[in-house]
Amino acid sequence: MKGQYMASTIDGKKVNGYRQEEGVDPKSKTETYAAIKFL
Amino acid sequence: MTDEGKGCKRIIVEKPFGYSLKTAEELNHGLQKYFHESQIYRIDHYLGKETVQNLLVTRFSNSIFEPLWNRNYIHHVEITNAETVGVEKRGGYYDKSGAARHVSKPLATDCLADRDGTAHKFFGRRNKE
Repeated sequence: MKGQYMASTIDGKKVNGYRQEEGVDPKSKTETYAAIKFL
Repeated sequence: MTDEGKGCKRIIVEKPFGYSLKTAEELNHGLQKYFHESQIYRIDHYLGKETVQNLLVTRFSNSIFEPLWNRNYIHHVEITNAETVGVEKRGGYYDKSGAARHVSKPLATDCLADRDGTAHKFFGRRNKE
């Protein structure tokens, strides 16, 4: 399962979403979160 | 290049080691043209972190955990690597890699596994023999 972080607030401070970060394609589909089950 | 003369030569490759099976194999073959396997270190700097080192010591040096810490007594292991910061200025690099390659492989396979017996050798009872 994959995910990508979005703009939010951490400790009361606004933070960028992944697609707003420097050097990242605004349409990027690169995951910043992965949940992987190994068997 | 592999001739060591009076010193020693090593090459250290930080993950990701290629981006697919094919590119990993190509990288491996390329390295092995110039270096002997014993001179090549494929690493993830995470394995040098104190938390991970302590986990290895706990697992292999503790005579209470050592016989129990296996599939017969542990249903599953869950590793969470959570960050409070974004990619910051590393977006250009990270966008080509992604979470699955960048973090989960080394954590899951290198931390969980003791594939070549190295951890056991350094931290386990075998070291005392």
